[in-house]
Amino acid sequence: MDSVFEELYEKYHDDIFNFLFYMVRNREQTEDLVQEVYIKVLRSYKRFKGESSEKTWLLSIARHVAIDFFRKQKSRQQKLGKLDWSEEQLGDGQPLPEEIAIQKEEIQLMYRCLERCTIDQQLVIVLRFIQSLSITETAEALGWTESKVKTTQHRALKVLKKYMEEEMEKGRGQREKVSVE
Amino acid sequence: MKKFRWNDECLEHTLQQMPMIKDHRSKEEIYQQLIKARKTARWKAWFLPSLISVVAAVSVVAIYAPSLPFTQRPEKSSEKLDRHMITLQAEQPAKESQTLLSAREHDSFLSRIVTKDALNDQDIVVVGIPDQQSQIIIPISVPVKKYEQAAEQLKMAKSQIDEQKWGLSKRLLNGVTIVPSRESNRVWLVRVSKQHPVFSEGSMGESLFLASVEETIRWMGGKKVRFFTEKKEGMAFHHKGYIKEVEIPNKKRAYYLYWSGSTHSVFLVPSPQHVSTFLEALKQMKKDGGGPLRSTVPKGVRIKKVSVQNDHVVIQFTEDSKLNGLPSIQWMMEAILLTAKEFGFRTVTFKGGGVKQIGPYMFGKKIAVPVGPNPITVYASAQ
Repeated sequence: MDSVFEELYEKYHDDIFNFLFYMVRNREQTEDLVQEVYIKVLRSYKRFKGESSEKTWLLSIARHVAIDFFRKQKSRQQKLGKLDWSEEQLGDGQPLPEEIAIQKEEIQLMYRCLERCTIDQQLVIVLRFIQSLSITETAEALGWTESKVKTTQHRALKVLKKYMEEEMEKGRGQREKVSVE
Repeated sequence: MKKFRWNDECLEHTLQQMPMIKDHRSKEEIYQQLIKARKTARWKAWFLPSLISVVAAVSVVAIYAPSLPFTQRPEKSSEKLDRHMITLQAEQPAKESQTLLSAREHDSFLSRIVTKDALNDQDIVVVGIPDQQSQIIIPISVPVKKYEQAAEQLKMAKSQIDEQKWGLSKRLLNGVTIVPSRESNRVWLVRVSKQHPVFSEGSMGESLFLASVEETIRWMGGKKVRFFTEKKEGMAFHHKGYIKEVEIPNKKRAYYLYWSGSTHSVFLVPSPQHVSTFLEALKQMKKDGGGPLRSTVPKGVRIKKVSVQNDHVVIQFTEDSKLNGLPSIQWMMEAILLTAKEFGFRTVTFKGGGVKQIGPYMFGKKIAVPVGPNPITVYASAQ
């Protein structure tokens, strides 16, 4: 087994997988994207200059791979043109992954609300709070300035707050309706 | 009731509690996939253009064959097969193809399984379709675009299956919408119109419809099906009565060869009945199943030992087993791989029999279980 792969796997595989999963929200797609990250990393490992930490360098590659995935997905949708969405398709979003479905309600709601954020907001939230990176590390991984990270984080938390309150309100409404019935 | 207010601290705390999502694959598995992906990328760069040339050459031979002096023989009806198809095809590739195709291409002609490597940048959807004799459900793997909604992939897959070519009948699946439910990908919704042909079918037709739906949803990972007739919940069958929902039984199956006649392809088809253990399944595969199902482990092949190590199984053949290069031996191995998948194994190693390789399968090396059975047009679409 390639020693570079082995080392990177031991140190960072879980982080990369987790990061990509929260971005694309599908296990199979995540597996494919992780593979793409490894291919890119192994191809360019010799050129890694150590200007940032290995972890943020890997995450920056993972971020590029994720953005590229979203771009391809968007262009595919544009090519398909306006779809005639059936009733079922509108109503049936992606089901919750098992790991989330077994968590308490707030976590499930948060997972759903996170999806409503912009890609940049999701990147910051995932790196800062789910991956526990510092502002500096997040800025390195995203190739942004620290102030851009802070601003995006601030806006992301603001919209998440709004979405969470909306969702909680909706849930409360439904519970009350059920109890009246 | 007072409305709950979220502050940054609450939000951050909840976000920090989000679970770590882990990869279920082992390091070795990921590494092997990585190696293969790198090889495939290189192989794709030179193989596909040459394959197109080969197909073009074969087509030219097929078109001009009657006028060429060395092919002046009457063509039998069973030979009038579409030679442009690159994958699932007649039982043997045409003679011209044999001389023109490399060993690897020849293997893919024969193969009745889809491996993860062969997918390249595609997904597959497995659709359970009745055969034209309405005797059995055949699972067919159809390549579809990746990252599409599951419902859209299924729709595309159904439309791509040429029923005449493969001896199948899509009639009962036409006009059926199959989508995952909102709450869980384990629950699937099946919707038909009031005029759907199943409502005027006999009991056999109703059973085939339900079995088709069950097979298709089973491959999508579903555990339960809810039926709808247009907006109304449930389906009122003439013979089976009103059915609102069914559980997908958690059955394990053995794989058999299905061959309806010389004009159609051979398929690998699971037994309709549950088999309790993997060993029992291997035993059953030595005998013919019911109806058109033929044994997959030929006479002259004996399994000496089966050892299980977690999700890996080692199949040891006796040294005097007749493991020749015939298609039936490759299909036996593929049937064993599919059966192993049914029982939750992820890899299989074949040993013994005095051979090093059968078709694309190396003896003594771990082989990943397939992603699906009976592929159609995988390479053609990959182009």
